[in-house]
Amino acid sequence: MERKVGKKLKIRKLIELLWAGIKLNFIQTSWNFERLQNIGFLFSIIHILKRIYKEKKQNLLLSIKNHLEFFNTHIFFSSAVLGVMARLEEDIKDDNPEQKNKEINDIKNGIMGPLAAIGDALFWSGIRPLALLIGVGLIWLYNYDFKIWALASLISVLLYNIPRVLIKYYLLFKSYFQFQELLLLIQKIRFQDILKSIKLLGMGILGIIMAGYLNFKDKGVISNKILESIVLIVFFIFMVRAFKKKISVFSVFMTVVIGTIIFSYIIAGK
Amino acid sequence: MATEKIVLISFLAALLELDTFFIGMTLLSQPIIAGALAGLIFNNIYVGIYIGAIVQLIWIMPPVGAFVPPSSCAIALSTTVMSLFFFDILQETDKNSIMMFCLIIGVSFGYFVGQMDIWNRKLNTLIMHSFENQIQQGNVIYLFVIQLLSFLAKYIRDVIGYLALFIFGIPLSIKIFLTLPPQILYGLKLAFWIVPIIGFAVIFNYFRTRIGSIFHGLVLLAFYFIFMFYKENIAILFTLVILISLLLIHNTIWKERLEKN
Repeated sequence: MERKVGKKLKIRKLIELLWAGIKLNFIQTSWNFERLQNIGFLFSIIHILKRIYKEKKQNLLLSIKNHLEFFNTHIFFSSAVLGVMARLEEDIKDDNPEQKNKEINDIKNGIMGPLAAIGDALFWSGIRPLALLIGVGLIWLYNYDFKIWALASLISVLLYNIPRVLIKYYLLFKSYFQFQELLLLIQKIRFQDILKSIKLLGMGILGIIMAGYLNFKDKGVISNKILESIVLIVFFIFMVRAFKKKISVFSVFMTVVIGTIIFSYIIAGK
Repeated sequence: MATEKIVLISFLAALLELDTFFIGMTLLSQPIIAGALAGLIFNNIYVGIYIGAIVQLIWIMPPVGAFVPPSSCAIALSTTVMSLFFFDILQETDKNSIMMFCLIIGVSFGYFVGQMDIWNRKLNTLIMHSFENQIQQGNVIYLFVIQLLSFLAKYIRDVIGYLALFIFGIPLSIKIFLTLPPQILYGLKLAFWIVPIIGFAVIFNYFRTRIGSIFHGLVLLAFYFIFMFYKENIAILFTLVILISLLLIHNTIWKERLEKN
């Protein structure tokens, strides 16, 4: 009988976590400059808190107040924080609610920073640009028809969303059921090496895409294809140097527009 | 029919805009998809794909922390829709000049949408303060109310923004375009020729490492000459590059560490 109740409770907790994971998709909906993702996070975890403090309303109010404080981490890695928080809210005794909240807050503040750093590096500087580069690359290398576009978009979306969903839900359940192993796991996984690998792969793919673009591009401005490619590569080198010097994309874009208009006036004058 | 399509694309665009930051972030709002969808609605997917592919790599930056980038979705969508309207009216004019002109307006609109996102986030602070006390008293339904209001504020604002651009912006920009001298039109054509290169430079900057830069140069050079003589089976060449990259990754990053373990 006890085993049956335990199993039921576990299934209930799994469903609760899954629901929290779905609600985490809205973590940035009410993002604000004062406390960033606090409302989104509390919105995602609230049904778990309500279950934990079912018979202790005062403690629920204290916990709500606690989670209304500043919160900010990477959107997909927020699931790990949610899992840990749910577990700690359950496990730490309620004898001294203020002490409990302080302990929970300290842990929350301690893990959200590193998780944000890993998530930002891995997704925003690695997986996302690589997935989009492959999609755009297929379009540049082949052509702009519907079939190629559909395939390229599908590949991009899958390359990005499969790791996104897997990492998000794996961390959610792992951090809840084995939260003490979470930090060990994060240390074990070589995120830096994974990121370096993605960058190297991206550079190879960028190389072939650029080679294809320069070769297959039709109706160029310069009739000699090799000369045209050299001119475009010179522009490319200048732009890379500009970005290295932290010049913004907008400035480079506007420089190209203004520069070409001035150039066309100069050649028209001659 | 055009009015119906403008209304449809404005509602769709505002929906896609939510995915850029506010909900999910699934890539569905990215220019490569948004541009093509706009093209599909206006019966010219080719232009949408072409513009989407150009915009995609240039404005790839994601919103990190408090940084709000311009909306690449807005840039691709507005440029595509405007270009297609221009094509209908100005059939004799060079298409590249038109697309570049529309891209400049699209970029301005994309940056404006980014600015509106900043206003939205400020509004979210006000919304939060309005209901914070209720939540602290245990009325947790107000969490949902805050989320809903923030969602609606963003969605309605974007629908209005897109409608205003398409209804007032397109006729106005066509009038401006018609006054442009041929030198500027030629300059725009030249700019459109260079602009995709900005995207490549942006990606290069994202992935830049010492070994990576050398590797990129070698692949570019080798495949440039291969493509001059051989343009069949690009998929095999693409796979070959991926395999060479993986081999390089293994030898430079993982080999030693795996052996140590």
